[in-house]
Amino acid sequence: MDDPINESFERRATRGEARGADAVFAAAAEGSTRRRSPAPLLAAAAVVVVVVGLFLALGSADDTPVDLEVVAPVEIPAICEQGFAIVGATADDPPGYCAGGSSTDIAGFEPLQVVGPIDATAAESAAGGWMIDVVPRPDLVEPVPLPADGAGGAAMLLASDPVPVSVDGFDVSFELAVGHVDYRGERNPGAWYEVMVTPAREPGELRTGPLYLSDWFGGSPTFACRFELGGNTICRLTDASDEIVWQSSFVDAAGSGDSVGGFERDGLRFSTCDAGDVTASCMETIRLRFSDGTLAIDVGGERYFEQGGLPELPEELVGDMAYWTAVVTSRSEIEIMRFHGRASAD
Amino acid sequence: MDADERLFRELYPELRRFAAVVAPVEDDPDDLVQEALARTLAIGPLARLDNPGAYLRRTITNLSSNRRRTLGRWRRARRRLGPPGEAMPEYPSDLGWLDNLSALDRAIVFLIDVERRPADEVAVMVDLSAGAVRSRAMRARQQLRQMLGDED
Repeated sequence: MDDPINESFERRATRGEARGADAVFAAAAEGSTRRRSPAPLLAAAAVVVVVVGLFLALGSADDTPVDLEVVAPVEIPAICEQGFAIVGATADDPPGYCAGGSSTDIAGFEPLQVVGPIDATAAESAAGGWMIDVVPRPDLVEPVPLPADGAGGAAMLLASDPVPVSVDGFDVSFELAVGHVDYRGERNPGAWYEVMVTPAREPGELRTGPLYLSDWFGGSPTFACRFELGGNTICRLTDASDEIVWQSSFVDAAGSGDSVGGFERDGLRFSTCDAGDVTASCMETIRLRFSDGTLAIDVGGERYFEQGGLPELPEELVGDMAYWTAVVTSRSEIEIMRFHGRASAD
Repeated sequence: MDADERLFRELYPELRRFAAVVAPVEDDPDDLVQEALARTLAIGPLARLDNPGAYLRRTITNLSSNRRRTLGRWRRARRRLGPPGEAMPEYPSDLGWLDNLSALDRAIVFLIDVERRPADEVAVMVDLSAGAVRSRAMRARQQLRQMLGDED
């Protein structure tokens, strides 16, 4: 072996003295996950010496990310039948379309549809919510190379519980986390969340517009918002004839009141997970309220976007509405995008 | 000896090597294997799994990713406190430099380049598509070669 990289890996693979299978199994079978080897214990002793100082130092580290709980991978539930690209996708699957199906294993949501040349490789129940991986599938587009700006794809999920909407409005909260560089401001925004409140429990005609997944609800009145990294929030109310009643965004004015926030740097408030994370403790809590003609969006308890002076919601949007959430990547490179989520409505 | 114990005996040598690569260099590989196994056994017997080797590798990788963040916080905090005490362990740079890669990327490069496993098999072990595995392996190798070049 003369490759210096492989040699390094080989040296690393054989480092330390192995305790042996029997000793490791015996300890694990007792349920012990504690570290027992001498070296970490010595290190732990060193920790004790400086624990007070460390505590103070850590306590002052406001930018320190929350340590993520590790969850062992669960066996992936069978969510959809054949032709579904979320679980068990192979090169033989059609490019990213979930034909329906449902799962009782995904708390709160059922995956319904995936569009685009993607491979959503896993959907697992995670921390009481859902988790889904969206990965571009070069195997489906080869030998044609991926577009220079990457592949696109999306997943859309329907909340199992309806959102009660009155004439005055609604109040929904959801938690989302995403693992992708696109959500960290290191590139142009290439990924975003969408939320929709609509009577439609399945996609309809495809409209055209900036709300990629929400625009699948043509023919149904739809309230929808898109949350992009750069803060380029777009919220829109569309009626049953697909006419835009109002749209508030970084380029649109709506209503008689001022719009506040939701632009550019504000989007950086969104938290992210690392791509390999399995859990959801880095979720961002997003709350949408529509009340007395004002749409208010809070992220992490802070006002993120507000638009006042809007008209009342149409009658078709009053009652128990379907609540959808979606994750979209428009130009991801070959990199996993992991989304976690939970939702609730008051 | 029950079925799980026999199964684990078969898996252990490769799991231990894998953990030694994927775990941060400060950590004992056996600790990581033990933790992954304990968490898995807490859910049910190993024998229930279709591919316990892949399952345990995924768990090891996830644990290592989490551990890396914890160590990152620890190192940052330690820097704020100044020079470490004598009891702090030091490691040869020829082992530690691989920590410039994420745990997941170390796992992928190791499985593909050193253990010569096909991308499809590795994909199952790390819970990615084969295409993503190939892509990540390529980029990780480039990153390592770049680091080697920088040292020259």
